[in-house]
Amino acid sequence: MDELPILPTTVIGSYPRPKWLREAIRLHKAGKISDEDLKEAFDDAVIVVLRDHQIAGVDVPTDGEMRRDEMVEFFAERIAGFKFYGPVRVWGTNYYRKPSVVGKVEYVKPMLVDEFLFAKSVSYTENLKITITGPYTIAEWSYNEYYKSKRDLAFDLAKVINTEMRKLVEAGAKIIQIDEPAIHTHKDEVEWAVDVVNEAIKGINVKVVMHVCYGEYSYLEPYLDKLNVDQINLALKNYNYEPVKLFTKWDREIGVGVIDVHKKRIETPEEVANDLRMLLNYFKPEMVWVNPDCGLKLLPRKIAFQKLYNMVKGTQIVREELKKKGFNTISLKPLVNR
Amino acid sequence: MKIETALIGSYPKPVKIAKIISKWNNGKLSEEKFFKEIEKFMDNFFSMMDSFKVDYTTDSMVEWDDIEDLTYSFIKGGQKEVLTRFFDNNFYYRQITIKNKLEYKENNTYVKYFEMARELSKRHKAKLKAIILGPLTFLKLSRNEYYKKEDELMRDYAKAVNALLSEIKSDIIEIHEPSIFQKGIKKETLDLLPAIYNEMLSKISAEIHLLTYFDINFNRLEHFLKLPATVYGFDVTENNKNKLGKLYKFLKDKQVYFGVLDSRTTKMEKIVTIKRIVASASKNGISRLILGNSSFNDFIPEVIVQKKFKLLQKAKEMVLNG
Repeated sequence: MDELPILPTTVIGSYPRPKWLREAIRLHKAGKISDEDLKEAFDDAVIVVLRDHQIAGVDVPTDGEMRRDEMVEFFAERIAGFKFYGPVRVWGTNYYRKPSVVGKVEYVKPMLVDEFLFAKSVSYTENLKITITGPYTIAEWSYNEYYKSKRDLAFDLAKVINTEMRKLVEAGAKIIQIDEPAIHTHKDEVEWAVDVVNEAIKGINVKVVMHVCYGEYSYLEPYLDKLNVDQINLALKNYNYEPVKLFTKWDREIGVGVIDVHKKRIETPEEVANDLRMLLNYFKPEMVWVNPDCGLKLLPRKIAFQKLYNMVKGTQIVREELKKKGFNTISLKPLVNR
Repeated sequence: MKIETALIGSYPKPVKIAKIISKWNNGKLSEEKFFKEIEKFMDNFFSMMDSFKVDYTTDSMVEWDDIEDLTYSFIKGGQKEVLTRFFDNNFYYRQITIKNKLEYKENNTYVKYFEMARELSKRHKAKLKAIILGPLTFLKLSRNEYYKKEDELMRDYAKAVNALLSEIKSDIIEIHEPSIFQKGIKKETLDLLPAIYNEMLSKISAEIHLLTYFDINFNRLEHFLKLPATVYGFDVTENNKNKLGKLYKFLKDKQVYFGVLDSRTTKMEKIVTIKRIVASASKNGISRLILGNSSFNDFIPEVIVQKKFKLLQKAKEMVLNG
């Protein structure tokens, strides 16, 4: 079915890893369990995540990015040209292994196809979303020791990401989300960063979503109409929806973040419904998707699940109201010919 | 021209120590054990600075998440809230939301840790600097929900800092003021700064290292150099390298800190470049030059920071030995 209910609910990508998976990863690092055992643990975790999403009632789930420690690290480990020197702190006591580009970046082999095919084989819905980190964000969140400019690096990365996206489409992906949380970091780079994203999604004629979060959305606003994506989804709840006014001219789909992923307080269904009613003053109902602000992986699993559950319940309240006005479904077809 | 080296800001916090901090934060470690671990780390850090023959150092900032966290330890009137990007880095801090009048917090942890660092540093060669966030940068990094006027906020902040500095009596103070080169700062705000600095440093007898980083804005340079300081610091990495020629015109007879080790890339500097900078600084009449990292070392892996300081030590020796 290439249709979804009005106000489709989705996730951004990551979901808390079950405790036993974290333990399996630790044992694998210590050489105490085999690669095969770890793969089985990852597969089992994907089944668990999809089950959580199913119980919560999410229309467009992901596999929770169970196999990815971090969104840049994962790809840098699989693309030629990167090297790791050690962990770098991002905030508080949270780290990631920020990679360094030490040679020309090149595509080696499929990075996400196996994980997508497995998730698809166990998913409760065909409308599964697969996420991929965008070229600008990989470039921005890496050290550049090789390229003359970040721009050159980002355009080479766009070719790599485009190759992978094509493989995902061949494997049957219907919704691909390109994650570009760094795209609005430098005001003077946004214009070419948008070109980089367009290069990465060239020829991808399935639903393409771009995720952007935390930062200066106003840097992105002047270039929105140049973006060739069907949908952008944004962190909004964290900002009490203040940035919404920047996106009123955006006439394609918008994924609205109605769940704050940095706070443990669980939003109630009524709160979500009220927020959505307010957001529908700005956007056409057939253009709105509903999602949390960002990935849920840093939250305790119980809280992440309850937040998702309430997000769906709140959406259902407004969905019923919209049905009475004749809004029933939306199409999964891409809005832009790339 | 006198040439020295320094570590400014932070040293990367190893994951091992971060785990200890997490345990302490979650109440899973006793105070005694926690302080012992921090003390051990600081002592090793000072030994490492000795091995790199660094003349000036901070305490590594191991005890703080970031400079806003450090500031939060000694002021009242604010609350740590939204996770916010630190300038244009992929590094985030909890922004202080100012909800009440800013005041000095008595019996604060800043003093406790500084005393610990000072005692430890006595056994080592590098001179210890106390870190302070400049009033303008504090204003820009925080969220104001209380003050009607920005100058009132900065003045109250300056008073709190003055109380802290009076208590710790550090010989050297490292003030971080990168926002002075940030876009969108009003001229009226800049004009107020010298008086606010005078208030902040009133009756404080210490050597002041006033630092900027990330950008150099020539339209603001005059304002920056008007602030009361012993040493004026600049980030001379990346695009700022091209600004050096123009910058020298303002620095004759001044004592200067140059951040020559790029704290935002793993790419190693070249000794020849550092030597060239030293030669041109000397030729342009700089009276004292301190070389070190450009900004916080949290932005790069620990192993790279060590390599960079080893390189700086080598460069300094080569310069001194002709």
